[in-house]
Amino acid sequence: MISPAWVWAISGSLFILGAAFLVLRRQLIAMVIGLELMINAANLNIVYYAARRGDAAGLAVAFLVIAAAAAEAVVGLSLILALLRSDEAAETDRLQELAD
Amino acid sequence: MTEAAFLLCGAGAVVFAALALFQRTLYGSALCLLGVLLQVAGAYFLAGARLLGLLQVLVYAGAVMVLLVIAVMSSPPRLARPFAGTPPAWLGWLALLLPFAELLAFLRLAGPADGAPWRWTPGLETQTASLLFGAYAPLTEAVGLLVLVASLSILREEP
Amino acid sequence: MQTAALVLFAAPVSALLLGFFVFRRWRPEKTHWPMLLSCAAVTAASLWMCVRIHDGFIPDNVWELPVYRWACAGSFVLEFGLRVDGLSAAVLGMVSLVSTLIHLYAVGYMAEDRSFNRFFLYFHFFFLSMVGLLVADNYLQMYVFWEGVGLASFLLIGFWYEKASARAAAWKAFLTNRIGDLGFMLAVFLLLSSLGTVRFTDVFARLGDLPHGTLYAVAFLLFMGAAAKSAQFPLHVWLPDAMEGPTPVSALMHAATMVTAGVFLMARSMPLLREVPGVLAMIALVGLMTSLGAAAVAATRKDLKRVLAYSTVSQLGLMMVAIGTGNLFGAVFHLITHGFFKALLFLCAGSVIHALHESLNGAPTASVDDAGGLARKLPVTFGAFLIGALALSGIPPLAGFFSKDNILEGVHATGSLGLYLLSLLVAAGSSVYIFRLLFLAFLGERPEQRGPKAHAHEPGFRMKVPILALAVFSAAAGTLGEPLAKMLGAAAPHLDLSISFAALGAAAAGILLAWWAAMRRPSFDWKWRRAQPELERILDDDFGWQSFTAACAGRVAAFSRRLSDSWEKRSWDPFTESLADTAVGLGENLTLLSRGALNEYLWWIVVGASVLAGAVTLCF
Repeated sequence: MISPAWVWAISGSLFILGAAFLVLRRQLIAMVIGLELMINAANLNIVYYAARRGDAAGLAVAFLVIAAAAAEAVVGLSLILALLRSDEAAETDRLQELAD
Repeated sequence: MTEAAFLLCGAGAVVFAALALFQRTLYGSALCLLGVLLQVAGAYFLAGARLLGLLQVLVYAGAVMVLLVIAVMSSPPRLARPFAGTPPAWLGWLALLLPFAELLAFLRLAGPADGAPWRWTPGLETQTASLLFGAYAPLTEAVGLLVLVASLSILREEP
Repeated sequence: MQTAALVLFAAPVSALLLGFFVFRRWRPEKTHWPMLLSCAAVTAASLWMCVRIHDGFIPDNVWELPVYRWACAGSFVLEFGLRVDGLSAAVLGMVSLVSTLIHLYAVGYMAEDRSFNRFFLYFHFFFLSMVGLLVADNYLQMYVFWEGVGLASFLLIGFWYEKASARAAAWKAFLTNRIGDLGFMLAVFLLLSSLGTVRFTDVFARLGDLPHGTLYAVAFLLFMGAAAKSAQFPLHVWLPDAMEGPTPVSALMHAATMVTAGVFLMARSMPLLREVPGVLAMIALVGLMTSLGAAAVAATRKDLKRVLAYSTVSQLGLMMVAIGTGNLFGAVFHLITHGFFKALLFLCAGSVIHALHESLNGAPTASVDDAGGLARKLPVTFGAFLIGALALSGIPPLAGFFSKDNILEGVHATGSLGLYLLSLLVAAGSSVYIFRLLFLAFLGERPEQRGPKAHAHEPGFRMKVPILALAVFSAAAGTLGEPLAKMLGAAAPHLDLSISFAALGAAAAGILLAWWAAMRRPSFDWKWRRAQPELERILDDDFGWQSFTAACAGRVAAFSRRLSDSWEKRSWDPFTESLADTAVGLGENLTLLSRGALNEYLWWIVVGASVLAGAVTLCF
C-alpha cells in the first residue's frame, strides 16, 4: 500500500511548477499555461480520492472543473489575442499600467 | 500495481511540467503542456475514472490546447528568455523514456487487477454521467453556457 | 453660615468676571467698583463668621462643608471643601479688612496708571486666592490656592513689566517660591501615599498611623514651603526685590497677607508639628536667625520700602519662633497685629512716594536721600507712621506690645536663656530700624537729603482714610487678644510683668539708639557708609546670601544651557530633522511595490500563501 503522501507530492509539485510559471515567465500566454497546470494538479488530487472511494459526485465535480477551466482559458486567451491584435506586446514588462 | 502506475503517470506529468518551464519558446511550452495533459489523462484512466480521462483528452488536450496553439502562433515569434540556463539533459531523456514505461505498465494492466487492494469500481462512469445530467444538471448547463459565452469573447469588436 | 461661606467665593469671582468682561472694555477706569463691593461683602461675611465662632454657635469651633468631589478612584477620593474654624476665621477677618482698606488706597494710588484695570484684576485675583487658601479644608486645596497666590505675586511684582528690574524681581520671587512649593507638594504626596487622605481633620486624627520618619519628613517639607512663602532664611531672597511692585501690592501681599500664608500653614499644621519636636526646634532657630539677620540689615538700608521689607522678614521670623516654641496663639496674634501695623507703615511709605513723585522721576520707591523733614509737609502721614512705628516696637498700649509680649513669654517658658535674650535683641533691633527710618525720613533737615519739594502734599481722601483706619486698628488691636484666644481655644493671655518690663526696656533702648544715631548725629548714616564701604557691601548682599543664591541660579542656568547645546543640538535636533528623510525614504521604497511588475506581485502572492499554509499546518 503506497501512502497517499506520494499523490500529494505529485499534485503539489505540479501546482508549484504552475506557480513558478506565473512568477518566472514574462509572456502572458506562458502564464495561462501555468494556470492550466495548477488546475490540473488540483484535479488530479480530486480524481484520485474520488476514484478510490468510488465517489461519483467527486468525479462529476472534477468534470465541472475541467469545463470551467476550459472556459477560463478561452477568456484569457481571447484577451491576449485582443491585445496582440492591437499591436500591443503581451508581456508583463511592457504592460505595467492599467490604462495609458 | 495500478496505484504505482498511477503515480508513474503523475510523475510523468511533473517531468513534462518541469520541461515546460525551461523552454525557450512559447511553442515548446505549449507542447510540453500537451504532454502534461496527456499524462494526466493517463493517470485518470489508471485511477479508474475512464470517462473523465476521455473527457480530459477531448476537452483539455483537444479544445484548450488548440486554442492555446492558435494564440501562440498569433504572438510575434520572439525568442523568450525567461531566465538564464538550459534545462538539464537528463530531464529531456526522462521525458522521452517515460511514455514507453507507461505504455508498458498500461499494457500489463489492461485487465482487472489481481490481488491488488485497489479495484476499479464498476459502473463508475454510469454513475458519474447520471449525476452530471441528473442532480448536477443545472451545474452542467451553467458550465456549458459559460463556455459558450467565453467563446463569444474571441469575436472581434466591430470598430 | 453657609451663605457666608458662599459669599466668600461668589463675591470675588463675580467681581473678577465683571471686571474682565464688562469693565475692561466698557469703563476700565471704574474697575474698582465691583472689586470694592466684593471686598466689603467678604469682610462682612468673615467678620460675621468670626462673631459666630467666638460666641460659640459653632460646635467644637469647627465648621466644615464638602463642596465638590474632584477625583475618585476606588477608595481614593479627593474632595474640595471649606473649613472655617477659629484660626481661619480670625486670619480671614484681618485679611479681608486690610484688603478692603488697601483696595481703597490703591484706587487713589494707581489713579493715573495706564493699566488701572489690569492692576485691579490681578489684585482681586490675589484676594480670591488668599481667601481660598484660608478656608481650604485639605492640604491639596490649600496648595492650589497657594500656587494661585504665588502667581498673583509674580504678576503684581512684575506689574510694570517694561522695567527690567521689575521683571527680574518677579522671576526671582516666583522661582524661589517654586522651590518651597516643591517641598509642599512632596509633603502632600507623602501624606497621600501613606494616609490616603489630605483633609486636615482626617490627617490630624490619624497622626498615630504615620511612621516617625514620615512625620519628620512631612513636617520638614511643609516648613520648606512655608519658609519660601514667608521669606525665612535660605529662601528669603525674593522679598526685598519684591518691592519693585506698586506700594499697595507691597502693603497687601508682602506685609499683611501673602507672606503670612506660610505662618498660617504652620499654624494649621500645629497638631502635626507638635508630634515632631525636633522640627519645631529647627523652625524656632531658623526664625530667630532670620529675625536677627533681617533686623540688622534693615537698620542699614536707605530705601524706604526695602527697610520695611526686611522688617517684614524679621517679624515673620519672630512668628516662626513662636510656632517653634509651640505658641500657636502668640504666632497668630502677632500675625494679625503685624498685618495691621505693617500695612499701615507701607501705606504711609506709599504716601511719601506719592508726595515726592516729581523728584523721584517716576521711580516706584523712595530713599531717605529724597526725604527728610517731611513731618511738616505731611503731618497726617507722619502721625500714622509714628503710630505704626510704636506698634512695631511694642510700646503699650498699642497692639504690637501684646502680641510680642506673648511671643516672648512663650520663649521664656521654654527655659532657654539664650533664646530669650536673642529674642529681646530682636525686639530692640525692631525699634532701632523703624525709628531710624522715622527720624531720617520725617524729622530733621540734613545736608545729604533733598527734602520735599515746595508742593509736596498729603494724599487725597481715598488714600488717607485707609491710613487712618489702619492707625486706629494698630492702636486698638491689642484688645483682640482675649477674643482671639477664645476662638483658637487657647488659654487667655496674661501678662507676666517681668517679661513685659524686659520687652519695654529693649524697645526703649532701641528707640534711644535710633535717636542718637539719627538725630544727635544727623549725618551718621552717611558717614559710616563712606568710612566702611566693605561693610555696606556685605550688608547690601544680605551677608553674602544674595550673591550666593544668584551664583547657584547662574550655575543651574549654565548647566541647562550646556545640556541644550551639547545634547539637544548634537543628537536630538539631527534626529528630529532626519525623521523627514526617513519618511521620504520609506515612501520611495514603498513606491517600488506599485511599479507594475506583475511577476513580482505573483511571487509575493505565492510566498504569502505558502506562509499562511505553513502557519495553518503548524497550528493544526
